[in-house]
Amino acid sequence: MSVVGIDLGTTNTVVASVRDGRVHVLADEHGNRLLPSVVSFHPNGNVLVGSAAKARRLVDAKNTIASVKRLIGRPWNSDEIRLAQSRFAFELREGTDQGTLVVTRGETYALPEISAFVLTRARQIAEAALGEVVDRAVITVPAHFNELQRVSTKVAGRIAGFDVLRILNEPTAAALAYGFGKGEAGRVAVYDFGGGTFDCSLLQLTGPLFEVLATAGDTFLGGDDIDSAIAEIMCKSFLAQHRYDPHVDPQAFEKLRSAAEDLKKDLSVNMQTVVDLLEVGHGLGGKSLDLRFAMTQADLDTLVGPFVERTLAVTQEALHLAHLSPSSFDQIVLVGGSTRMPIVKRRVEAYFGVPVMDRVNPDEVVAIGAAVQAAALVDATRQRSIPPPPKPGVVSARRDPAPPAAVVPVLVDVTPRALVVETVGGFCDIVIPRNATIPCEHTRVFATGRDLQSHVHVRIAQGEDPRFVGNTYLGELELSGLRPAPRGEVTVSVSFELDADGSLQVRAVDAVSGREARALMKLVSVAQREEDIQEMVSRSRAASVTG
Amino acid sequence: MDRDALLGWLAVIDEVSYYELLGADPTAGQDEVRRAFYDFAATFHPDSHAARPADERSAIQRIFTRGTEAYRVLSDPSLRQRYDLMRAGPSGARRISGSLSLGPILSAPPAPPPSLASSTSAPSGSASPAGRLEDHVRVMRARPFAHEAETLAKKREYAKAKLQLKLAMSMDPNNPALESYLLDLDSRIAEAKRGRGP
Repeated sequence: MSVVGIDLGTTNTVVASVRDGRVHVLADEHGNRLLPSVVSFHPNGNVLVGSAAKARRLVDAKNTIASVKRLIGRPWNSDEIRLAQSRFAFELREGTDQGTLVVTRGETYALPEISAFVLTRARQIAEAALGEVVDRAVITVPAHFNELQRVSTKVAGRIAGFDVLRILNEPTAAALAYGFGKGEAGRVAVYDFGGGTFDCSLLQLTGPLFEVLATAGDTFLGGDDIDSAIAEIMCKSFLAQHRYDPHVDPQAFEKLRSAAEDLKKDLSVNMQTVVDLLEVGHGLGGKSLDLRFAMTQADLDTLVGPFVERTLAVTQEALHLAHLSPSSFDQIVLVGGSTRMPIVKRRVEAYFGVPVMDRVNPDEVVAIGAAVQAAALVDATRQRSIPPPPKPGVVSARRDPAPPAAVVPVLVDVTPRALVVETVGGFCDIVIPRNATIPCEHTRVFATGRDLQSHVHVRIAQGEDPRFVGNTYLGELELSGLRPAPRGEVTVSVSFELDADGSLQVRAVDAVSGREARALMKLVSVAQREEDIQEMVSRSRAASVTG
Repeated sequence: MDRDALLGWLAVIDEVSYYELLGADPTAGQDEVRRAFYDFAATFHPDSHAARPADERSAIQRIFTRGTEAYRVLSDPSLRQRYDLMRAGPSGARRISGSLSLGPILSAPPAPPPSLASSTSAPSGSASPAGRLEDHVRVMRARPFAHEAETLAKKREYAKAKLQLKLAMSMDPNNPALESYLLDLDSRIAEAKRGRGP
């Protein structure tokens, strides 16, 4: 039995594990450590995950699902789902309770089920590499993920057969991978420029305390955009040479895009490079149309510059939210494959005025941090003893400092978004403020407004906007079985509890009788009923998932 | 030994101030408060106690949750100021229970502010429709303590009753019936003091 940390990315997924005190990023049988987060439903009934699925994106786009991370936890009526319908070839359909379903080969799948196929493949890779059963995992999510997205990710983990030990923020994981959290204090900026998305998170570290000061992101800004931009230049050059536009043939364009990606990677190391592409298209009489394309690092820098400027604008937004300036940071951690481009590193260093940390492989740093945390959570040896209690009324000096930190710190995370309830007039009342350390609990008292009212509905959202509709709607809390009484006589005290994952639990007590009231927290679009999840678990087990 | 220490913590958890809880000086600055919480968290974070038996874990969770509340209040200058004023208030009553209401009490839809004291059973045993205090206790193991508290209160041994009540409250946190009973007890203790005074 073993535990792993999984970076479930938009573009790629990475799985890592701690063995004998060292972190290992686990590779599949071909030695690949990056598992493309792509799922393809093959006509033969197999579910392909990874490079094999990615290869089918062209031939079978309708049954090949990529970037599901952009969609998970998004209700049917959200902007993201609408955008996805116009961008992606696969079919989406409305499920029960505003859930979103993927339709493929006559079957429908909830979004967590698609993510679960990626996680199942990650588990297979880990089990093959470690030679033992892997049943527990820490899975990372972006710091800005809301409750629905976190719960859905956790459900995906369960469907894939994991006991999900923790849902961990990606920037926190990256900081853990660099060994932060052992007692030093300081501010860390995590600059995460991945394949499909850009995120900037600002952390305040005080020993094991990881506070997310601010986070900002662009969900459609990544290395893929740079590949497309290079491919466009190739297209122009091809058109000029052969009077043939590769755009008309998706396969030809995809060939260019894939060559562009290789070229980009090559230019991170070399000052110039030349690619020879054979049979991009076919001309009159089946004549092969080839392309020889040369690019220098300086050319690439000119092209990439505007993209980097956009990441810095997002970074500026995060700094603005935190009321900080670039010079307030002690360390800058680089995450994501796109940070390998020398221009990115140069610009980020110039922006913050301090050298960046890029010692750990930027594709793997999040998974490594997740593995470190996973190992810590199952390490029973780090149990602390309980000091004597304080004496009321006696102002004590500081207690003895904690014993020397273990190799891995206890991580005290915070909730990145405020939890609010709707009040009269469409405004919000904050129940749990943003940046509250978790686990935590807050109690609110609700009263009936009508005579003989037996139910109270409380609408709950996440965000900082004073208007309720300006926040992300999470769902509704229903308090039922209230005793019949004139209005205002029945008051229910509801405690909202965020556990160490930041997942919401709700308990309600009739404030007068002290009886536990029935409280049902229904999260919009998320499968929560145990039997539904079990059904998805068994369906997932029955599927034949291959790499 | 840890068990005894844990019981000790539970017994005083509603008694101690946020400063005492975190081991911070009331004059401590923001950085010192953060430091103090860091030491507190290193000791009490539930992740450090995953291997303990379930009841100890729930006790630790409760202590830690109170610590996060303390940190939240003390690290917010305006909340901290309000808290300090409250502590220095005229009654000197040091109430720092978990349901400390910070902000408007929401009614959905609007309703009068909750006033619980009148309808819960009073220490003197004034006829309440719901009967004994222990019937309001949601956690079985807390009931004997609530029963004992009520018995002692009827004998006018308020201080002893308060201790028993505190124990019940530590096992059944945020129970409004117990909290309002505590208020009643406190006022009776204050009355008794005035009675004895010159």
